[in-house]
Amino acid sequence: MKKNVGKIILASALCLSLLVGCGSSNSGSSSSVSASGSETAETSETTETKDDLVFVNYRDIRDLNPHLYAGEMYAQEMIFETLVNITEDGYEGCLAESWDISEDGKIYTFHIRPNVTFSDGEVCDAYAIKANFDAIIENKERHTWLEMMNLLVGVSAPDENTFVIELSEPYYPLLTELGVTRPFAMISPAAMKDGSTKDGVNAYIGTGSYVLKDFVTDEYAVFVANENYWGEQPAIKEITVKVIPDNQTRILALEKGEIDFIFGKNMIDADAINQYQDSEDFTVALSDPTSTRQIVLNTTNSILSDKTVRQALQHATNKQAISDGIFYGLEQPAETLFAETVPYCDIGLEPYEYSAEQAAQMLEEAGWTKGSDGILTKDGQRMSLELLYNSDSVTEKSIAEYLQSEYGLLGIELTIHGEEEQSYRDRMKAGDFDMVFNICWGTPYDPQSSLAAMRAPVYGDYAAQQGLEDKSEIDEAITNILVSTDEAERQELYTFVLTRLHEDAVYIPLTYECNKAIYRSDMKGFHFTQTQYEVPFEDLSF
Amino acid sequence: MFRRFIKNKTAVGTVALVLIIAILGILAPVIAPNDPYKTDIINKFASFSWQYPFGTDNLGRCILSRMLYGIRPTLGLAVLTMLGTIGLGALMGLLAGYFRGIIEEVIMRVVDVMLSFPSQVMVFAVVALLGINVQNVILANVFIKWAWYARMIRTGVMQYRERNFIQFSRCVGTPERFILIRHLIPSIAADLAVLSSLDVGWAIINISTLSFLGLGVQAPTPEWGAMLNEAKNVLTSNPTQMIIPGIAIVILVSAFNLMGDALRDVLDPKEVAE
Amino acid sequence: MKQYVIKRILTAIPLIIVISFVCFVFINLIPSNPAEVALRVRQVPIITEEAIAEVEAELGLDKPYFIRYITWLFDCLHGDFGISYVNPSRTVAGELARCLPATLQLAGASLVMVILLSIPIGFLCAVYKDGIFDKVMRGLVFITTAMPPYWVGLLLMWLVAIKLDLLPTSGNGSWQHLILPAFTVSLSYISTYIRLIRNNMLENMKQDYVLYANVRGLPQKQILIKHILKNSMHTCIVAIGMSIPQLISGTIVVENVFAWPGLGTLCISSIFNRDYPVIQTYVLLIGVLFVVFNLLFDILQTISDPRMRKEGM
Repeated sequence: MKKNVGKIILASALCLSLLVGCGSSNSGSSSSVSASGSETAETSETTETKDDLVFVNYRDIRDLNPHLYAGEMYAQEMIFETLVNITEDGYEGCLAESWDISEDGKIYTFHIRPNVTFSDGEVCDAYAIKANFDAIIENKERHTWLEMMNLLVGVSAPDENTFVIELSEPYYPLLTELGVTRPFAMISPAAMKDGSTKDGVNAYIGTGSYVLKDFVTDEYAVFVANENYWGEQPAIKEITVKVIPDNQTRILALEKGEIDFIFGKNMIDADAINQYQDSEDFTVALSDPTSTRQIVLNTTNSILSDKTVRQALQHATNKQAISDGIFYGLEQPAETLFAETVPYCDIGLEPYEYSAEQAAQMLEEAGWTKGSDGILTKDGQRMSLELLYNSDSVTEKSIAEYLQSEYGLLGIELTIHGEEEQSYRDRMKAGDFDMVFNICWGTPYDPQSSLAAMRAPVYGDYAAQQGLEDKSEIDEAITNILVSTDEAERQELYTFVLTRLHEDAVYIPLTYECNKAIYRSDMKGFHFTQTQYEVPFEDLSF
Repeated sequence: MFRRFIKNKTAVGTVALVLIIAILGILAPVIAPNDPYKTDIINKFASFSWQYPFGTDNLGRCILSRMLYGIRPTLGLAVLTMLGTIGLGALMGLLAGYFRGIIEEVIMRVVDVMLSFPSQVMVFAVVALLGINVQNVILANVFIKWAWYARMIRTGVMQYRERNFIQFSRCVGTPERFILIRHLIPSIAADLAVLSSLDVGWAIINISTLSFLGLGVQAPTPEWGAMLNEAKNVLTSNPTQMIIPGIAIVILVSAFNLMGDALRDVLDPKEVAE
Repeated sequence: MKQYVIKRILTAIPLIIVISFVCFVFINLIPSNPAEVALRVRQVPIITEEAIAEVEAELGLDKPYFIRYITWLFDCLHGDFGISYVNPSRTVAGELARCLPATLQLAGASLVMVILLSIPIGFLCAVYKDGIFDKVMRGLVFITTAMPPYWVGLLLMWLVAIKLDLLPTSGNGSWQHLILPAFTVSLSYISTYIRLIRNNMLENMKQDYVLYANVRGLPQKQILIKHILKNSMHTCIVAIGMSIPQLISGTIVVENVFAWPGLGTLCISSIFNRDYPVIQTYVLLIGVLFVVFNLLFDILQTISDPRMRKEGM
């Protein structure tokens, strides 16, 4: 008996040690990646120039299928390319060297760049591009936010160097839509599933300057330079992207040299930027305004369906305080849905001035009176609204809490609720919100694509605007904008739509958001690009 | 018993401390120097001053006022949880211990299943199912804890029910319900008091943990765990933010733990002699 | 004794079945219609009544409850726990398999820390009862039981990783990443076991056999280590073994503080994203682990200590 006991204890101790041993050997293997990374970093400082980079993102690269929307855009930009690129000076050839547009603006003929291959060796000629378009068009419903999908008559590849797109109407933003990250990025036909991509792809094979070498879900992804890239080889040969969901942790990792570079609109909070403004080891970069941070009011909500209430909320929002207090002035207060620098948007709209008195007065005019608990009521209904925010964003919660306190002074009960990115987007799309944080799409989508998308239930705007009396009128004007060929008429229509949306007070603009980056000061070549999600890895060096 | 209580310094001290904290919480609107919800965004992360004795948080709200108001959800919810737990546990335990038979069998099998789940995971599962909100946090905590009380009370009841005085009341024909209330409950009250004061500390930690993870009390309600959640976001730039709520939790939980031990000494003199 | 073991195993089986049933009911209690969720997962842009009915038939949702449970249980036994609602390209089994090693690693390291720290400290506390060491340790034990683990994590992260810059702050990678989270997880268990070992040893010191040993004139050291410690360890190993599943589930909070990519982080983000299949499977997994470990160590205890056999059941 006694001996048995000893054996059993021994056995269980062995089991435990096995369990532990198993654990530690695991850590050994996974550590090799980061260890070798830091090793090269150390040696390179003394001998040769560093040609690898550690980047960071708040979540996994996920599904990089370039024809769908579930992947991280920076990674899609690295691997895949489109027919044209959007630059500061207009369009530039990419997979298409050049193009011709027919007199009536309906037929686009692209001359495909010769000798481009995918990283699996497949040739990227007009036939491959046709195969890509066929796969995209197969899933047409998913892409209706792009007006060209509705106007498309057909695509063809008469020979290996020529690709033709035919539209039913002339459509001026076509090249922009072809140039944005997705869905018109080219994947190797060999990676498609029977010529289709809507149910996933077999591998992420593109023509871009980098290829995906390795990844561990929710931990890291490694990209290496594409040796067969048709353009100039990038100076950085290997890029490791770590997944660090928490803002504080990212900054600590940067501080400790575990990462080289943080980039993005919502990846760094203003406190951190402030902290590094004067640092010698790290450089802070802020882009021009890219997009407008705003709150969308759901006009189908019984309280918010009243235009006066919506306008009162506009007056109740102190954008200057948000800009100064939360962003230390790094993001300028926004007055209108689109900044005046956005094409067609400099139309002299009169902003809603911040004035709590005026807001209170307007609410009173609308029939709301303060009840015994200090909350406004009307016909037995309490003015209680929910503001939904994206809990992955580093600043939305602070703004939400600030507004909660400010609105509270006026007798508006604002409950705030955070959800993670995916469910936040799902709820937005379903119109399941009273008020929600939103960001207009920014360059190069503004204003045409952002407006076009308001007409279909793809984003929160559609649901939010359902309560507007003039919704159909606005939609019709947007449709006309997209197919208008006359510049003056187009401007007139834009003015109409933007003025209506402004007066209907559906959007509370908060600040003009900008892209932010903090990086090691010895990193060279950093700049912001026209596409706000693209990180200019090709131009970086040490 | 009261004399033993007065003599036991720890018991008196901890009970007094808990009462003072509770009173501070109740009187928060009177004594708090500022409105705990009032933001002063230009003045965020201010350090100690006369206006803000403990400084301000990420939105420029007064930390002292938030701490005082935070007593209500922190302590209040824990006490509420314990009341619910004891209520449900006592009901089930008494039913099982007194009536025996099928009722006991069913209740005790349910108790077994409940005890076979790790409590931490069950809390998360219940919150996930019912949605993130304060009532659900209390429900979840009651749900995972009642089985312990049911089992303890049943054992207590079974021990006492064979005692002479209960047998006697049965013989003289006292109604069952009366026996339960009149005799059984007082006889297990001592054990209950000890266990439940220890468990209030447990409940405080548990509820604040959920708030810390964002699954419990929601902003802007000042709750100590939720305040620590906000402090976590500024760990590098403003580490002092996490000090005060953390220490407050440790003091309150320690008070309950000490109180539990002291009450055991007071109520069960055998242990003291040892 | 064989009989007892068999009986004990047989009682565990209905328990596991009940746990699985509770998990199954759990996912069927959620407010949203699984068919509708499935459609959303497949990125169907417009969801119609007919489409929902079609998917309901496809998923077997129109069948009676009990049949669905059996089918589900059968799938589970084959390792098929369904797909994640949030990332339809990932299976639940795959997600758990991905996160499990990190959690086991953390729980394993914590277990080692618990054993390495609590046994010697508990031993010394008992030997030098009421000495300075004992008093200091008891004070520390008392304080740590009142400290919420997430706060301990934050303090350690700030002090050790930021202020002193000794260890990485969070994430995983090397063994250094493991130290802080493992210590945070183990802290509350360490204090429990220090107390347990100390009290157990003190109890044992009063036993008759110690008296005999003393009378026989055996050296104190030998009595302490060979008899008292050995006898006390015995209860502790069983207690520690039974707490392994608790240790695994106890990592939830700490994993979130230290961004440790394990089951706990997965569980919390699934709750936020309402990814019910993942939560369901996680609860099922931990529940089964709990029962199995309890069973294992209960049997172990009975085998090793015949006195317990009668009391045990």
